[in-house]
Amino acid sequence: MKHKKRMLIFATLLICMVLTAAVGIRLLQLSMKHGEEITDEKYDRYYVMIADDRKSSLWKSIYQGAFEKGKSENIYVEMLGDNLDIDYSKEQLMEIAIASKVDGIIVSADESEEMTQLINQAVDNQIPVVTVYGDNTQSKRSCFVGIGSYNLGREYGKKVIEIAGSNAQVQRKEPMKVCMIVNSYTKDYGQNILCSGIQETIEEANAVSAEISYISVDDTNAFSVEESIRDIFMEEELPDVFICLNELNTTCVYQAAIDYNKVGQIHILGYYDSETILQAIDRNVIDATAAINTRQLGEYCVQALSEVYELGYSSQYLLADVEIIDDKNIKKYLEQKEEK
Amino acid sequence: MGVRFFKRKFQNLSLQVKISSIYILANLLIFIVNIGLLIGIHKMSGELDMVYQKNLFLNELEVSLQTVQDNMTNYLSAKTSDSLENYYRSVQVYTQLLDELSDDITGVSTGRMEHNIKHMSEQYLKQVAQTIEAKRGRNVEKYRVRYENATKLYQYIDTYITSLNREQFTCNSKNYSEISKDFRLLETVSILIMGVILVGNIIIIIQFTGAIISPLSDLARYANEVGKGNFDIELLKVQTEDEIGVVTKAFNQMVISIREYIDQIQQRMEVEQKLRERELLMESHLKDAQLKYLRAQINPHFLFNTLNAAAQLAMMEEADRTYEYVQNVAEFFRYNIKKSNEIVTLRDEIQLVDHYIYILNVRFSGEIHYEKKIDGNLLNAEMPGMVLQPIIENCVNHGIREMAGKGEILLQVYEVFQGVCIQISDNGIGMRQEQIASILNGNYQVSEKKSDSNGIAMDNVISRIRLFTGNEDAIDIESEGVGKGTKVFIYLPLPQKVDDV
Repeated sequence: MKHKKRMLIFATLLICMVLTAAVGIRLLQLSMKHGEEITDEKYDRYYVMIADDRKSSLWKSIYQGAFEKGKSENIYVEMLGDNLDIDYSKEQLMEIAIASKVDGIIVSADESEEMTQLINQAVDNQIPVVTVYGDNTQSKRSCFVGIGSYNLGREYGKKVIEIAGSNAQVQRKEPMKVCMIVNSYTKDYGQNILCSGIQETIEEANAVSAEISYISVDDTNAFSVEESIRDIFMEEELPDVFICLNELNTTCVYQAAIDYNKVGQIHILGYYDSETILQAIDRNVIDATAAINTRQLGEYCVQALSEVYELGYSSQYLLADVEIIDDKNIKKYLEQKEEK
Repeated sequence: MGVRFFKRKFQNLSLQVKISSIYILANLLIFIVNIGLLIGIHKMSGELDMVYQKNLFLNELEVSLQTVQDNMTNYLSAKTSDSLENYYRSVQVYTQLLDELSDDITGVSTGRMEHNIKHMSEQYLKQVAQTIEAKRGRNVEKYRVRYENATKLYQYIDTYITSLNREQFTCNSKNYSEISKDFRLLETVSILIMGVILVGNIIIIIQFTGAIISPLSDLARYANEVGKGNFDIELLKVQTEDEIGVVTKAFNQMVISIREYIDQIQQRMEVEQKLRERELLMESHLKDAQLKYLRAQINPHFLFNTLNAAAQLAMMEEADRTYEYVQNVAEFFRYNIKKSNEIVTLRDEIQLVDHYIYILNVRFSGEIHYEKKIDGNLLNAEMPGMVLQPIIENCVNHGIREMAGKGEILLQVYEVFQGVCIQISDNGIGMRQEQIASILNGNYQVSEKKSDSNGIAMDNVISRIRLFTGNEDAIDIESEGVGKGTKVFIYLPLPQKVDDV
C-alpha cells in the first residue's frame, strides 16, 4: 500500500518534470521564431511598378496580379513608393528606379516628353520598361500592356445605342447628349482610340442621333477630379449619358448623381469593377461598367519583362480581357467573384 | 522487472551513496533547468541587443551621406584643398558603410530598400565625383547640372534612409514588444518551473530520505522498546543491505543473544535457588538432629514409670507426704517425657522449677530459700523445654551446696528491651570470669559427674537457647567473683499478644 502510494507520487513528479521540460522547450521555440522572421526568401529579379494611384483598387488588383505572377517565377515585384515617407511623382519614382538599378520597370505612362525621356534613360541603362494601362508610344518601351481601347469603345457605343433605344419610346426631339469624362492633363492615346470606337459604333448604327461631347476634368492634384465632376452637376443642363474612363471618375459621378438626386435622369457607363461600382449596378444607378481583367493585366506586365530577359524582345502590345457588366449579368458576375 | 531490479540495486547501495545521489540528483535537476533558462535569457537578451542595431547603423549612414553632400557643396563653393580632402575622406567612410548594406532582393521591404539605397548611393557617388571633376575643370555648366542631379539623388537616398529607418523602427518596435512579452512570459514560466522543480525536489528528498530513514526509525522504535525491557517483540525485517541493514541485523542478533543470556541466567538462578533451599533444609535437619541428639541424652522414661508406681503405693498406704513427694517427682519426670521435644511456655518451665525445688527441699530438709518475682504477663513467652530446671540444678549443685549457710535462689521474670528477661540469681560461691567464659563458649569440662543430676549439662542448655532464639547473646552469666553469687540471664522474645488473650 505504502509502496504503491510512493510510486504514485514518483510518477506524478516525473510527469511534472516532463511537463516543465516541455514548457521549457516550447519557450525556446518561441524565442527561436524571432530569428526566423529576419531571414527571408531571396529573389532572382526585382521589378518595380509605378502607378498613378497606388491606393485605388484597380491598381492594387493589377499589382496583385503582377506580384503573384512574379513570385511564381522567383521575381519580386514592388509597388515603388509604397513605403516611402515622401509621395513622389511618377517621374521621380522613375528616377529612383533607374538609380536603384532595378531589373525591370512597369510604369503607368503617359505621352509626356519627360516620361519618354525617362523611359529611354532606363532602357539605356539596360532596364527594360513595360508600360501598363497608359502607353508612351514615342519611347523605347518594350511592351504596352493595356486594354483594347477600340473594342471597349465599341462596347460602350453599343450600350449607348441600347440606352437610346429604351429612351426612343419617349419621343425625343433633341439628339441624345453623350458626355465623356476625360482627363485633361494626360494626353492619352488610349482615350482617343476609345472615343473613336464609341463614335464609330454610334455612327454605324445610325439609329439614334447622339451628340458626343468631352468634359475634361482636372486630375493634376489629388482632389481636383472630385471637384471638377461636382462642377458638372452644378450646371443647369446635364448630359443624358456619362461615360467615365477610370475608376475614380466613375465613383465620383455615381456619388454626385446620388447627392444631386439625379438617379434615373442620367445614365452612367462606368469603368472597372470595384465593390462600390458593382453595388451601384446592382441598385441600377450605374447602367454598366467595363470590368477589366486587372490581374491578367498585372500578369502580362511581368510576362513581358521576363520575355525581354529570355528572348531579348517581347510583343509590342498585350491586351487584357474586358467585359461589360450591366443589370443582366451582374448577379452571375457577383457570384463568380464570390467564388473566387 | 527492470524497475524492481534497479530498486534492489539502489537499496543495496551504501547510505552515503544513497543520500549523496539524492542530493546530486536534486541539484542536477535545478542546474539543468537553470542552464535551460539561462540559455533562453541569453538568447533573448542577444536579440534585444540586435533590435536597434540597424537603426544606429542607418543613422550613421545618414550622417555620413550628409557629410559627403556638405563636403561636395563646400568644395563647389570654396574649392579649398581642405574641403577636397574632407570630401575624399567622407566618401571613403560612406563607401565603407555601403559595403554593409545587403544587395539581396528580399521579400521584406527593408531588404529591398537597402538594395535600392546601395545602388542609388553608388550612382550618387559617381555623380558627385563627376561634379567635382567638372568643378576642377571649371566647366561651370556641367558641374551645375551634375550638382543638381547629385542633389536630387541625395534627396532620394535621404528619403530612402529615413523611410527605411522608420520601417526598421516600426519592425523593431514590434519585435521589441514581442521579445519583451516573451521575456515576461519567460519570467513567469521560469518562476513556475523553478517552483515546480523546488516542490518536486522537496517531495523527492522527503520521499527518498523517508524511504532511507524509515528502517532507521523502525530500529529506533524497536531499540526504545528493547530499552524498556521488552525483549519479547518480533524481530525487525531487514529491508536494505546498507549500513542501516547491517545495524538492524546486528541489533536483531543482539536481541536474540540477550534473550538467550536472560534464559541462561534464569536457569542458573533457578538452580542456585534450589541449591540454597537444599542447603537450608540440610542445615535445619542438622540442627534438628543436633537437638534430637541433645535431647537423647535425657531419658527419664523408666524413672517416670517407677515413680508412678511408688505414688500409687504411697496412696494405698495413706502416706500423704510421701504421696505428694512422689507425685511431685512424677510430675517432674512427666514433664520431661511430655515436653522434652517441644517448645514450651515460660509458665510450664517455672512450674517444673517449682516441682524441682520442692523435691530438693524435701531431700535437703528446706535448706534452699526459693523466691519468685514474676511479671504475670510474660508467662506465655515461648522457650525450649528443660532449660530453667538445669540452670536451677547448677545453682544448687555448684553454688549453694558447696557453701556454708542458707542458700537463696531468686527467679525473676521481667520485660526488657522488647523482650523477656529471665534472671536466676543465687548467693552461692560465685564464678571466676574464666569459668563464665568457658561455660558460655561450651568448653567447660565438668570434673565429676554428679549422681543426682538429671543429665542435662549447661552447654546443652546454652546451645538450645541459642538455637531457639538464633541469638548468641540470648544467655548470659554474671558473677562478681568467688563467694559473691551468680546471676544467669536468659533473653526471650516477647509472648505474642494473641496468646495472652
